[in-house]
Amino acid sequence: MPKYKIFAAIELGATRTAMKIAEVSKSKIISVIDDIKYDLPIGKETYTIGKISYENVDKICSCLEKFIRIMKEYSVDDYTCYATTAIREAVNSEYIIEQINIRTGLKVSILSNEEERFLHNKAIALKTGYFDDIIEKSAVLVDVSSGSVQISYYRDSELKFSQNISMGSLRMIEELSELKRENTDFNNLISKYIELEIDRLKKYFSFENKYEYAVFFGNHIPNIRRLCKIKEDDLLNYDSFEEAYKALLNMSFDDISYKFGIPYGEAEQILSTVLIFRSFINKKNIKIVMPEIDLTDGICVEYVEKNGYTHTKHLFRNDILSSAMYCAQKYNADKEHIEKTTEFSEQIFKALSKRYNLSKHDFMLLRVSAIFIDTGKYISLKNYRKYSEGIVKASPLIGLSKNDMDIITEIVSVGDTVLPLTKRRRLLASKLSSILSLAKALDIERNGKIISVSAALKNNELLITAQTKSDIIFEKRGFEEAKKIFEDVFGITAVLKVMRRR
Amino acid sequence: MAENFNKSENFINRELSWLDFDLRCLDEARDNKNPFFERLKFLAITCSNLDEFFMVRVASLKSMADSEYKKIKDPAGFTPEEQLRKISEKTHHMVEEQYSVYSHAIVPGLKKHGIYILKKEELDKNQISFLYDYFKEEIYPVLTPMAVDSSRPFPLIHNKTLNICAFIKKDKGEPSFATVQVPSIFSRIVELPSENNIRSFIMLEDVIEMFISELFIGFDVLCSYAYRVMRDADIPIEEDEGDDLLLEIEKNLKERERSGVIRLEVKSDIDKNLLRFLKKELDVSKEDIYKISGPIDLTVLNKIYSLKGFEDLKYKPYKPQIVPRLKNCDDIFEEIKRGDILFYHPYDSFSSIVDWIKKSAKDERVLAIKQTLYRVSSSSPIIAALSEAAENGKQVTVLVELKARFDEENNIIWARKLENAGCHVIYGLLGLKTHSKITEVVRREDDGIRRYVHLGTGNYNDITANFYTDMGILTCSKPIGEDSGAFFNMLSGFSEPPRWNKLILAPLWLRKRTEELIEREIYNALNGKEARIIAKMNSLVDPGIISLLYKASGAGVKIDLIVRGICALRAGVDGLSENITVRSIVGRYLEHTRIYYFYGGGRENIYCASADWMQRNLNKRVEIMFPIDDEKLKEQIKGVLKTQLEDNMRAHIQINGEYKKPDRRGKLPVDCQETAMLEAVNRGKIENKDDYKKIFIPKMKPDGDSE
Repeated sequence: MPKYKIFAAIELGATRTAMKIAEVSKSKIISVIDDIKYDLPIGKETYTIGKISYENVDKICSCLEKFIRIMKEYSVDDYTCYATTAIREAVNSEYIIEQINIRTGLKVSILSNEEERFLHNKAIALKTGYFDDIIEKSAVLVDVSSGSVQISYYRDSELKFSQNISMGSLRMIEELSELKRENTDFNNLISKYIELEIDRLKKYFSFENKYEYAVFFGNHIPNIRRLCKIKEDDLLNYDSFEEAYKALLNMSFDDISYKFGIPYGEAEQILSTVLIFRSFINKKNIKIVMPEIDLTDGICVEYVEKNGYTHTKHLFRNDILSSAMYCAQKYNADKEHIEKTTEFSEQIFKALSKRYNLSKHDFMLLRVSAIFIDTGKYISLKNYRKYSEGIVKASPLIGLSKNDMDIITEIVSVGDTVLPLTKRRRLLASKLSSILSLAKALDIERNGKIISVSAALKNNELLITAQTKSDIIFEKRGFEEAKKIFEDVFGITAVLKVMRRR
Repeated sequence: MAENFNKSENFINRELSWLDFDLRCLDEARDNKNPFFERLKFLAITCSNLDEFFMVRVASLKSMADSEYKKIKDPAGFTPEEQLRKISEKTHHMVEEQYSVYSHAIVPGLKKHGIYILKKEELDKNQISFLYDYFKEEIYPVLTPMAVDSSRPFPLIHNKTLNICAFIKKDKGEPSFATVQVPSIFSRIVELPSENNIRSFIMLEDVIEMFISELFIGFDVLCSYAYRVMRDADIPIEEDEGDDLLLEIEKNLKERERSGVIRLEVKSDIDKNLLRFLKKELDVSKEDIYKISGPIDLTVLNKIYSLKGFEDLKYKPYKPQIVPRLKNCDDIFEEIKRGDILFYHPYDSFSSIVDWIKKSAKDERVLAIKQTLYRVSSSSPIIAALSEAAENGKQVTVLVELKARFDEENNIIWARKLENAGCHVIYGLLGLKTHSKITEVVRREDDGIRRYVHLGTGNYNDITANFYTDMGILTCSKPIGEDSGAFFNMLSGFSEPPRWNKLILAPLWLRKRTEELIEREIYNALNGKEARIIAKMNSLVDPGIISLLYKASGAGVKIDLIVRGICALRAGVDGLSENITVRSIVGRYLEHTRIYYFYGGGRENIYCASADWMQRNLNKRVEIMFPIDDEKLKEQIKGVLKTQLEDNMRAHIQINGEYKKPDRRGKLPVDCQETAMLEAVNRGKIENKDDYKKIFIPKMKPDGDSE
């Protein structure tokens, strides 16, 4: 039997539908064997009339039917099919997903922008062999799409933040189009506009001049590489980027369009993309990488991770937590308390996970909730959970789906949200929330009185053993309070056993 | 120096060049050094070539002359009208030559070998009686005579069918016209009872003429003569995105049956009034009428060629060789993994390719087979294998080019058959003909998915592969495999990949790459480096490429062109092409291989392709040019080119448009096709399959050997 799986990664994007077929194995990790793209600009409809027409759904289905044939040609073992912005933002998205399922049998999931960008980052790791090295030093990842720019900042192998700005290559041109007639130097106008937006971001997140590498990617990279004659795996420096930029400036949009067979509108977007990139070139000794990646690469990486293989030392799930912590610390989050709470939660979670079918991903949601739950106190100690809810909703948390965000919001807000949660999801939120409450109670004084905790599930009793050197009267009281909800949710009793150490 | 190479005097008109190729075939029919029966075949080929020329080229020029394009000149500077005039002169002359060869060389030669083609008046009583019985019992029941009068209009005379026209008269009435089609279900030659080891034949139309009065009882048959019409087969297919191409082509084929007559062949002694009547009814002009002094449609000679018992008058039989690496090979897939395999057909057997596809259809690990089909044989084993593969649960994708001229009907049948077997059939592409020859087999192996690819210069046709020279490779190179996957994805309507690793496709990149390769030779020559191009193809017509070759010649690039058919380039002209040689090889096998060699400053790039350097190949067809990277295979191809350039038996050398046989005085005779046959046989003897094994086999001391 072959020691590999054949996987199909399918993307239903705004401008095209794409599929990658890859061999996935422990030795090769990912080896792409086919890469199929079909131009299908469904995004236009979503952005103009708010929905996708029957004709386009029909085209998507026809294309997917062809994909299915190709999947059979490779005897594909597994697949993932994700829809992005065009379907996500269409008012008839639910209908589309069902129609696709009925006609093709394919299950399509909708990605949030944060999940999509996270997969892009994962794809970068796949395509650039030295990802671990550059994030260990410091790197900014700039992902330009037609509608927005995602900026991720890594230092010491940790994702510090990932922020989305509504300033895509197309959106910007459209916003400035009225000024086009009155300005002869449109490029300069775009540059100034970008500077304004990016400076704000740089100041807010205070990362200016703090990165050695800039990784630029997005829709137009293949054409930019072609126009600027950038070879694969080329590490550009400041001068070579400037040279490529100047070469581009010397070409009119007509030139670009005619000589390279690129539509005029896209030629404009290429320039604005390069200008966005250029605004991140902050110093002479910067090293620039411009890899060609797309979502399907990221989908492959995600699949690989699910199979327990890794192609980098870096663990991406930690990105979610590190960026969450970076955000929460802006609101004076108590890192030590969060770590303690997480440690205690983990013990309780482990004891319960098997019987109550709780996953690693669920624990990650609990951890993010633990990070944000007290952030509201930065604004007011009264009703602070309401403010925590506001903060978590507003924070740029890359890699989380809308469902994930709903569950975290539900936990952080003491379950009084008006979110349209399904019964199953609301139950999960309750479970995670009650575990977190127990754990928080055990560090209620925030002075680490309880050194460690272990938990064991025996019949209908969860026995939590706490090691401590001092008196933990408030912790006990808090525990008694928290266990009421816990017992309601899990249907078992929670017992705290205290072991005094000398 | 910005020289204008586009001047009309620098080009030879492509139509006249086509006819020159026919004349070279006619030379072979004349050449008594060829085995006698092969000369019959060459004469038959000149006839079928001319038929195709009329149906396609003359037809197209005629429609141009009648349209808004009538003033457009060809690269040689002729309007369609002028071209038609020159063609008419040349073809009339050629037909005279054909029948001169027939009467003065073929008929006497046949007699010498005991074969008599008799005329009506040469028959004895016994033979007449035999023919009467044959006519009454066999032929008569299938004949459908049609008379033309005020109530019965002139019937539809089908393209390329042989017919007999007659004037018939009842009592004292006016003569009226009648026609009857010579049925194609019977052999065109009827063998007669003969004695003394002589074999006598008579043409079927003569038999019908002898007893034609039986068809018109109560009438007097005043006179009767055979005739044949040729119709326009160049009716463009209206392709619209929403249309069903299959239905569109079927409609087009029906239209073709009724298209205008472009040529009328009649017996040279035809009654004047009968001819006038035909001319009027068929609406043909005087110059489109060909008076024939012999049997109309000389392809009938193929029937004589296939008579049994004359093997000593033909080429010695040659058995295509199994390439050494595949002899006694248990696992062709393993063998391909050891290195690319080159095939030079028909010297190397095409059966290896058919067997590979058959094996793939059965192989458990094969997941999918994809193939492009342009022309296939009438009972193609490849089609059968593809159907079997689909039935075995493999994913089979086949592009059947419905627009392959004269094979449309055949291809529709195959396409439907494949579809019924469960194959995914693509009926060609909108506005383009898919002429590329590629097969991909996707196999799931222990260490991953592997693609096996065959690329060729000729069709997947097991019959023509026996007499067309073509090249192909079997490879499992990953870069080619990736390209092949992307190519089939493109045929399915998906986007072009961002880059191609190895394959060069028309109409996207082939012209550009070819021009770049020639320009690179020019650059090297101008910088005092060695520069050389050898290009072997069927036809060279593209004005852009020709101009660039003139430029290269001027720069000092040495260019040798081996162009079997049409060549619009003038070779060996001082100040234009003194560094260019053109040779056409006409021999036992039809030279069909396309090989392009560029010295490349010593890197020596060799490509094989499905495309000629013609506008239609570079602009309107999906073609593939593929590099030969394996050094050993490159050497083999270089050897083929070398022998072709040394040939002084089959080659005709062109200088400024005129073709001549090379001067052989003082030189050893070289026949490139004979050499290729010999080499293929010798390769089997010499080449060791183990050459490709990546292990050392230590020789052990034999038992009992004292040394």
